[in-house]
Amino acid sequence: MGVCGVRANVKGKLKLLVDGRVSSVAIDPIEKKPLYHFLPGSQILSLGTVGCNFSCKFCQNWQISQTPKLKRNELLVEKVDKKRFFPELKQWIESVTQPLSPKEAVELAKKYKTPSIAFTYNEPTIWVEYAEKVMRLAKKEGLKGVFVSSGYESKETLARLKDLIDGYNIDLKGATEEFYRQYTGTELKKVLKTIERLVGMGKWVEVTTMLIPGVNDSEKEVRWIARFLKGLSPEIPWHVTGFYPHYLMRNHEPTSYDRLRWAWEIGKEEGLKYVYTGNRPSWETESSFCPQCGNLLIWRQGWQVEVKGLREGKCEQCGAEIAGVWS
Amino acid sequence: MELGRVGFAEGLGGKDLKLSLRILPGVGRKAGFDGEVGEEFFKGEVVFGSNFRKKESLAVVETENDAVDTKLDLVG
Repeated sequence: MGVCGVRANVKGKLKLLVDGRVSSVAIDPIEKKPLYHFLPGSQILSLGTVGCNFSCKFCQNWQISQTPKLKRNELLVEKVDKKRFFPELKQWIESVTQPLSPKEAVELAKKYKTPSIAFTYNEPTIWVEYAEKVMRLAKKEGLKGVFVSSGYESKETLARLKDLIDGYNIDLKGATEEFYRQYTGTELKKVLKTIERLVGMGKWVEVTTMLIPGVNDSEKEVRWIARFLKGLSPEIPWHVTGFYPHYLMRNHEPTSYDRLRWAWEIGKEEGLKYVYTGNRPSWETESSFCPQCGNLLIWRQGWQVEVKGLREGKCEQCGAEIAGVWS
Repeated sequence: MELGRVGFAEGLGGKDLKLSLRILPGVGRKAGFDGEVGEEFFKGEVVFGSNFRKKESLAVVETENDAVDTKLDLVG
């Protein structure tokens, strides 16, 4: 059984237990992913399964990401017979998910006229073959694909998704290996490599960092992340979002807007052109402005969006090219 | 705009961990959708919850044996 809780060695074959199954389906504003420079104001069919290869103590969606592992551990503690282990886990996963074929997923997107499909809510890398099957059909209908991911895609996975996924939001959860090891059970360097690869592939990438007070929000860490992104491209939108007490950190204080605003200013100081705060509505730090002339391009507050001074990817006022996927 | 939700019929993290997820599509009725995705495709319980994530923190289990609110928002 893999660390994700949904892949198993079944009679010598690696089997994905959530293939063709979903725990959650929604039509979301694309800004919720968050993607701010990718078809702004559009809606996106969003699919999630269960399980995760990360074990973040602060996971905001732990009810779907971590529970397969809890069930697996329960079976281990009970010392369930080998013959019963896999069928019981499979049965449990089937009880918390429902089938949705790739064809049905694409039909949903068409029915609700969403121009894109997101693989989100729980880590899509662990169910990549399902996402791949959905997108192979979706591409025939002219739909775009989005991955909302913690950034543990291998080189091979990225190559596999190259023609299928158009936009990524990658979590860069912190700036140190110690933080990654202690709070997520993973390695920072692999995430950095993924972001580098995606930028190198010319994919549209936005990055999200959720600031947890006293844990990953020191000036040194915040500045390091901003500099890392700037080093790849100053055009990468960076979302600094607020933490809410969850999962194993439910007694930790939430992030204040002032702290997000402070990080937003650091991102700007370090030369990133597009920095946004998230989870705490404030139009001033959620809206897009032209980095050349300051013109308001896209007004946002919460999930309200209005494209103002942007036409065909350019600032209406000064004509500057604004990086993003606009059509 | 309503958000995607997942409902748990039984105690998450409880003694037997028999949670039951329901597909809660969160198709925004406010945004003009008819919100029928769940009914049509899954015949599942459809719950439209309230405000973004504030409720969620209340829903998080206080102890391992507590029942969980049936309305949850998901991030991402």
